[in-house]
Amino acid sequence: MHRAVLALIVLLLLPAMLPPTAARAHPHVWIEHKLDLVMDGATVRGLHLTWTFDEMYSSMIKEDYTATKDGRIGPADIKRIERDAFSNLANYNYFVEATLDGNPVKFAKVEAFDVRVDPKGRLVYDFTLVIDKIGPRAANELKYAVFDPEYFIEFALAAQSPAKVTGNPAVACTPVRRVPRSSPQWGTLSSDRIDCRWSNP
Amino acid sequence: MRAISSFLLTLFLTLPAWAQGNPFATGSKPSALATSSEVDAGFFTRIALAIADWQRGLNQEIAARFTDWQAGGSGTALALILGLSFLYGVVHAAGPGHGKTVVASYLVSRRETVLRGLMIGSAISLIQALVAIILVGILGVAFSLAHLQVTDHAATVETVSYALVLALGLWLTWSAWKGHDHHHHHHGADDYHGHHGHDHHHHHDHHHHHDHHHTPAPPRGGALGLVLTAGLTPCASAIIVMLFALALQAFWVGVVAVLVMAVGMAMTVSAIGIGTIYARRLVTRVFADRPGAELVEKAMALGGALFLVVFAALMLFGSTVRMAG
Repeated sequence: MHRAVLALIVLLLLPAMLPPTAARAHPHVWIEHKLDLVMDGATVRGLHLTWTFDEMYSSMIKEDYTATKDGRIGPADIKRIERDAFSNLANYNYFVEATLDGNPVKFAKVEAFDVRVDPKGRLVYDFTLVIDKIGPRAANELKYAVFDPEYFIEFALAAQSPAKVTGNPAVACTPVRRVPRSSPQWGTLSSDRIDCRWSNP
Repeated sequence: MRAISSFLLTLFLTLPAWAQGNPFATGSKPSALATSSEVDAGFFTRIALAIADWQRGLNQEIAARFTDWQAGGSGTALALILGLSFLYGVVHAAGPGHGKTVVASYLVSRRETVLRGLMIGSAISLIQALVAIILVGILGVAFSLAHLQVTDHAATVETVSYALVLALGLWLTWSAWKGHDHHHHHHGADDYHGHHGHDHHHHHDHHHHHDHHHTPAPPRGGALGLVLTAGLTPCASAIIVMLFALALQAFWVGVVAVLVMAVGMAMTVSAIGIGTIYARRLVTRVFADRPGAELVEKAMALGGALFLVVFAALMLFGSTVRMAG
């Protein structure tokens, strides 16, 4: 009888136990990303990010927002892409979860948004997120992750040189790959993280 | 009829994309459920991560083979597209989504045969692919909508699908509850007993005997409703593959690839469905001839249906309620 009760409990929990509980399959977009941490001495000025899209999504953007659709991208195309397929990401904080000494970082604006196509035909977004208020003067640790909790997009750190630092040679950044996360709607997902540390005078 | 359908189509095309859409599209906001936290890696986590890796790899491979096919039109590229699409379907359906939870909840609630389990899983996957093909065919080809807009409209259809699944779940719950009452009210009806081969005439303790051996049949029906409501959710990946094929002027290759992908997805979803059916049978068998048999049947009928309600409500909430600000 005990075994039977156990079997019943397992059966009733079966739908819940299936990995990520979601009704539709994800993700729809894959992005490979890199971080260039822009520093001014011991102060973080901004995050210069490079996002490389998968071929299928690259094709959608090229079809919708470029004049020639053949992979050539002009200044007008870049303006259109920024307006219609990028600026809305402000609502999502650009999927960036960053903390300076544990305090969440907000971004004031985007600078130098640029789009190009790499040799494989993949679309690349290149932009700098400027930090809203310069964090605590004494900050000496940045934790940075890019993640979409709705799993529309799957972000992964680029395999080669995912992190670099401009403006302070003493900063050490370490990529931490595949950190599991749990989301109420999609179950277990993962994100890559970059941890940077530096000493304060 | 034609007027009505063209009116509905126009209405659909002019509807703002109020459902969970593409974050890149102007106006969209994160879902109210869009929160997450870092956790420790467990067994299921590692499976989920492996599935995510395979999906990424297969998607890249398919895109590359499509480009090959466009460049030379070689048979090898086409064969690879189809083979990879099949694998993608199997893995994709194992990842988050594709009605696994819906099918499993339903099959806990209702007693179905293995053949019907297979048919339910396959039909849902196939209809999801067909809806994707039809959406891209109408919106992308006939109306030449921007590709991003096609995905937004797909999100709207998806939200309607969640609402219908929720309604189905409520109906299943109601009928699971009522089915039990029904059984009690008609306790002495002969036509009920006949199916189960009880030998009424030789037993004086007829009612007592009956109580022990009769497991109430869960109400029938609902499978068609499930297939139609859950199937309405267009397979978003199929839509993206179709749009990619369209951009490469290989629409028909896209159609075939998506159908092959649906066969792969059907295998995964059906396997989960059949597993659920066997698990349910085991429970029924173990409890047969025990005093709790009826209660157990009712617990499964109600439990599965309620789970479906909670799940559909969660998905509906997640896709319609956006974060403030």
